[in-house]
Amino acid sequence: MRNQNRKGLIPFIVLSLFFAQGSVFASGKQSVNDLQAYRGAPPTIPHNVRELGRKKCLSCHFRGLDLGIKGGEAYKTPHPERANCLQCHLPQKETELFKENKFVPLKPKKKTFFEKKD
Amino acid sequence: MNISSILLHIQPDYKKEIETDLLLTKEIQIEKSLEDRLALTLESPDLNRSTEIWAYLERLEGVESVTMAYCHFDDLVEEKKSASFLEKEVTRREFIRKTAAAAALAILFGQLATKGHAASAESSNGLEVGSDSSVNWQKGVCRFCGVGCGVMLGTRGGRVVAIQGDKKSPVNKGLLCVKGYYSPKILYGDDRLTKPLVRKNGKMVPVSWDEALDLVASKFKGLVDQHGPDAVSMYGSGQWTIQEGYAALKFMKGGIGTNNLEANARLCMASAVTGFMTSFGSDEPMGCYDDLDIADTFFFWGNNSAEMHPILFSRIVDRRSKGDDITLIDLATRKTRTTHLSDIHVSMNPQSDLALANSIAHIIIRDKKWDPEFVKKHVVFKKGKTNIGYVLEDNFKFKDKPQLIEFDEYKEFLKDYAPEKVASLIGTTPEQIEGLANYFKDSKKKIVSLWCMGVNQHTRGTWMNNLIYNLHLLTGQICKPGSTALSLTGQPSACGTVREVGVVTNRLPSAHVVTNPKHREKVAKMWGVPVEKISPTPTYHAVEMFRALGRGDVKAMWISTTNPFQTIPNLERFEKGLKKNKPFIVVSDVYPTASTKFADVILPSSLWVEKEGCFGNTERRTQFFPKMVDPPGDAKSDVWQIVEVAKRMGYGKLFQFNPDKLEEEIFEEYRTFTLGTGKDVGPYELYQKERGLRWPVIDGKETKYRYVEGEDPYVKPGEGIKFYKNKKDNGRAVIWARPYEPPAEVPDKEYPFWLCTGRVLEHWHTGTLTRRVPELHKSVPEAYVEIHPLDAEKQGIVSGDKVRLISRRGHLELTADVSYSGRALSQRGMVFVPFFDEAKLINFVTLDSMCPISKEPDYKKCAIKIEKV
Repeated sequence: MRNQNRKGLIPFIVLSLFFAQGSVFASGKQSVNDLQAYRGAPPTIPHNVRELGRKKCLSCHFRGLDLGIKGGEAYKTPHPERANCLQCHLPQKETELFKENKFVPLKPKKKTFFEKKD
Repeated sequence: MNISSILLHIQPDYKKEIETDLLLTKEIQIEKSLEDRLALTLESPDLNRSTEIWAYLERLEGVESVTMAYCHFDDLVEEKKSASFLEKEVTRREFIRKTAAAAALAILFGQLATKGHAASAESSNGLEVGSDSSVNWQKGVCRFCGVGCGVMLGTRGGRVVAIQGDKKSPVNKGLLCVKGYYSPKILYGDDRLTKPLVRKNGKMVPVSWDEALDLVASKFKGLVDQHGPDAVSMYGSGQWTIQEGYAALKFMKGGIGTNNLEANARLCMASAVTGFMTSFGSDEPMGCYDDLDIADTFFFWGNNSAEMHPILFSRIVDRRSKGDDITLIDLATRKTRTTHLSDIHVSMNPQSDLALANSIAHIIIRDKKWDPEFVKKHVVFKKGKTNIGYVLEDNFKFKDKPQLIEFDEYKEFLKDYAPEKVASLIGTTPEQIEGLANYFKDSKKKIVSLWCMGVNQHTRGTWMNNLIYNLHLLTGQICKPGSTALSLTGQPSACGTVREVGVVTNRLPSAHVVTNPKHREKVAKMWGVPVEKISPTPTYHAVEMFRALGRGDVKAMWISTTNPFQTIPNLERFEKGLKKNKPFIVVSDVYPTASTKFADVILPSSLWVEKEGCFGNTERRTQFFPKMVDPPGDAKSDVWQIVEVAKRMGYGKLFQFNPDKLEEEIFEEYRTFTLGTGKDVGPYELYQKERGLRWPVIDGKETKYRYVEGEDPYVKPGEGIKFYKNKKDNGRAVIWARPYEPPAEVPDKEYPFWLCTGRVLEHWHTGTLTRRVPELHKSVPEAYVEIHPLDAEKQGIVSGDKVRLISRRGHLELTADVSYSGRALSQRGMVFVPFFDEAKLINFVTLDSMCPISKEPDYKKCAIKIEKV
């Protein structure tokens, strides 16, 4: 029974990673703070979002994930009950800015969420 | 501690497959099967196992969402009922954290389990008010939509450095959307306007405030002396604070003596106003956001709340995650994020909402499921004129002729809307209409209807508002907790400023109008001006005012806090006249826009918390925010600008306020007009303390539900529910017989597609503020056209292709978005274009057809053709 479930899940995780490409968590130690505009800001999404829906987001972000490979991490959401993920978290396209912005943030307290295994 | 039951929301097409899958999981018992959802029971004492099964269910294809009810929660049920939303939230959150956290990972992912730990909700914010003593936290109101979220702004060294949702705000309870979270950045765009600019020899040159203000005052005065007061005009905004709106109103109507005053809220809220006025005799809703926490059924009428009012939408949809049994019904022409999170989606053709609402009313009456007692006590029936036109002609005039009718005549009228007769017009099946009507037929349901631009920006917008109220009035689903029709608004103070203060051509402060001699007398007396000063004739509605500007009838316009040269429909129509007539244009704004390009004088304004003010939101809540930082350079508040120009034109007497208490004294003066009208606001100091108050505020107490005895002090004991503002119908509301009529332009052989315009979550109106926020811009850098994949395939268009949209009025090149890429999908035969991009002005393509009653343009429907470039 349990095995059956797991069989179904592993390809799913791999598939989910495929959708969540180009993670910034590639350089060994990475902090979610790098994705925040100021202390307390919801982090932006450092990968493509090709699929719609919370279900898809939660498949990695419900528990958090660290596969030990490039792009194989996902940090755990503190609020899985929130249904509309993209209301606060934005995917970012590579594009020139419309205008520069001189906002100076209250810097996030440095905090590492992922430490890669040695 | 285990899961006692699970509610599975599934897509109907997947029902069989999912049932088969579930049989594999022995712990689960399928209890009953209801249309498109399954209720399951899971009795597993093993928490790890429960979590694993949840994860399994979450991943089944076709599962929309899974809701769990924990045994653990049973003893909390009573507490939950009394506890505030916020407390529930915390309980739930803690629970999830404690239980689901480490357990499942180890099982599901085994050796893959992460070493790192997830952040808790609090530490991921890493931010508590007062946690950093160098930061000063103050309460404010979000600068964006009409929801009116409370925010806490952190300032340090005279700059805003952080923001968070105000946990004490009853509106948003600590949550914000992307626009709110990034709003500190709107203050710091590199190209803020910091100096007054005047056009000299075709170039904008920085000048002193004195020079700029003298020029504005002398030009306006010269034109008034030469051509009369109606030669000049002012065009404001629902983003004006209450004080700014009041100052503008007093300046134009009490000073200059013209009714040439309009605001951009005409483009978004006018139909809601005329809808309220015709159905209830008074503007603004009877219910409030509290209803959203109580109701069990939500009808979204052409409304993508998930993107446009995300906080309210989350307030509703997050209830489902907490185990509440609610049904979201999405009636729309596009599949949006709202659709994705709804239980039922009914696709309808553009404009057919009129027929759909009437059809539901027909079924209610056919099956004798209306509330006879409510109808007998509180309702009259009326009909008005039909074939009422589209306001495409210059100087179009329309006056409705309301006539009382009997219930039988209304019943007879509805027979044309039997579901089998109108299903094809709506683009659905009779069964679906019957299914929707079932919700209204069930008297145990608590229904909330929500709508915004889909209904308001509509050539029959007033009618459509009426028709939604009809359904609620027929079934008594109104003025009860959890049952209401809530018209959503788009701007932070469309209600507070434009609708309550009255920043439109026919209005005087609060519930007073220029056409009423008694009102003119009262207002003139309070302002200390001769009554003749206040003109008794309304002049132009917004779009007509711009047509008049193009024609040369209006020779000067002061535009503030809005960007009409991007937002007025069919821009070409009046812009070509501008080149010929060269009117004098003043623009007060914070950044260069499509409108400042046309300006002779640009006045740099303070933005948001660079000044003090009040906003009024959708649920009648008036909220105060203090000045927190100084504006950049020489920028000044709009109130100051208006007062200074007024003084220079000789109307200084009207604005003898203490400059240090300008906002407070203006508010207090406005307040005197509201007293006794049913729209009473409270004293200023109250708003400085409270997280906003819903009017009428009597003796310092707010009103949750209007027209309800015990809630609304204007309802006398024993009256129960009384629509007391509708005096001409003896305090009854009106059910209107309003037919379906087609829109002004319908796709044909030559122009085969509908064009619908609108917004995206990330951008606010014309992008003046949001495009300057790097994160928002990077998320949606440019306007695009959303095309259905099958329509695109026919023309060989794929995502990323350049296409040209051509209407009878203009054309525009855009990039095609053919995928259903996380945002939305138009129905076949329709395309959607957002209007935020000033480099891609879709309003050269749109049609300036309007609702003849509200004069609000229909940006959602015109005919175009598409060419691949």
